[in-house]
Amino acid sequence: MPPVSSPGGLTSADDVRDRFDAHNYLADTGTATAVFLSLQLGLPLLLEGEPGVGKTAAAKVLAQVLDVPLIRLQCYEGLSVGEALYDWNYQRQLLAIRLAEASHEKLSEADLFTEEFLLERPILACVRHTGPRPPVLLIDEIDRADDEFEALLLEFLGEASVTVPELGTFTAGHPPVVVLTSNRSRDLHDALRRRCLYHWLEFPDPARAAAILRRTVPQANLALIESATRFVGHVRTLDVDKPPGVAEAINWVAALSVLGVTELGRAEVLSTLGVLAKTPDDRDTVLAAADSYGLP
Amino acid sequence: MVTPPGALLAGVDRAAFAVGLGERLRRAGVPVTFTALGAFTEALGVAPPRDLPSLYWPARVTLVDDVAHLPAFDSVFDAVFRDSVLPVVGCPDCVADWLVSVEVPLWLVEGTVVA
Repeated sequence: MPPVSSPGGLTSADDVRDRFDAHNYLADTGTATAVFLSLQLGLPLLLEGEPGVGKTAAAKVLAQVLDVPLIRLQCYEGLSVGEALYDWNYQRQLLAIRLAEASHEKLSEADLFTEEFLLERPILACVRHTGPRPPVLLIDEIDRADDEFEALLLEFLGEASVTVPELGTFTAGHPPVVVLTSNRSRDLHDALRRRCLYHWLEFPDPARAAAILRRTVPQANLALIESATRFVGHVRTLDVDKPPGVAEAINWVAALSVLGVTELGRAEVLSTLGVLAKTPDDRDTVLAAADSYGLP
Repeated sequence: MVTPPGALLAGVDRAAFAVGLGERLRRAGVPVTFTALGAFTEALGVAPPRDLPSLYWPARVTLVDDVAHLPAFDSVFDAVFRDSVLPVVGCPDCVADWLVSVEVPLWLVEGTVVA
């Protein structure tokens, strides 16, 4: 069977893995499969996992691999239509009213709600994108937005369209590639999950974590990477408020490396503690771990 | 709609296969929707499984939509595929024999067309 081509010419999950690898993102089989199927089936991809396991990075790298723009929508509590989908340009509307008054023209309400006065926000921008290939839309940390915002997304996720009541429905010529991320700080609605492919990203096993660090912090020596990976893995087994993710491991090894550390000891952990432990309680736990772990 | 030759489950009706696995998962408490079955059927077409991982991941990515259901999904997948001996690659008759002979996944036989 000939390889199936998808947007960006990706032919298989292995191909996705190789192309991500070329952009220094070491994707496991699950992530590569999820990305490939999302492109092939034209379905949004919901990436869920602990903070720092590479969800946002995957979306960024996907845009690089496909060589298309990345449009990012950072979610937060209270995010609304006006910030995410579209808004009306009130100043221009007001100006149009003033101009009409000055020249004694009659202006109807319909005259003020035309595309001329429409402001694109990230989602409408994706739907109306005119480039030869669709952009990647990253809807980051959807779990931070309210339930109501999830409901607003359903039409877009299901049909790649946005309805502006005053104007009608805009449907994407090329449906955008959509990646949603969630840290699972709350449960997302079933209706949203149903419209997406779903992938739960695990913290990588020690061998893969070390491979990621070798790639992302090439200046660090191998012994340091190995001992740091083991130590991070150990800390993750402890009762910490914020278990260090891949992102923290990368920053930590980079910090150690900048300080010229070649061998991990208690003093080195202490001097770089802020990178690994993000709360006062975690500082104590990590330091205690460094003591009991038998670091020199 | 059958899987191409050379695939892990060569000549198997994809839709029937998806529905069968979906039914099995639902019985184990994984809420598999009709939309998800459609996606899995399509996934089997665009990425014909060659081995267990390339069957596991498309099934998981399309049929499971919440990490809370992963343990149930994994135990069904293991019971049906890992704990039984899979037929050799590219041998439709073997698939037929396997579907009949394996005790657990009898659901696969009903409505499953083997080319």
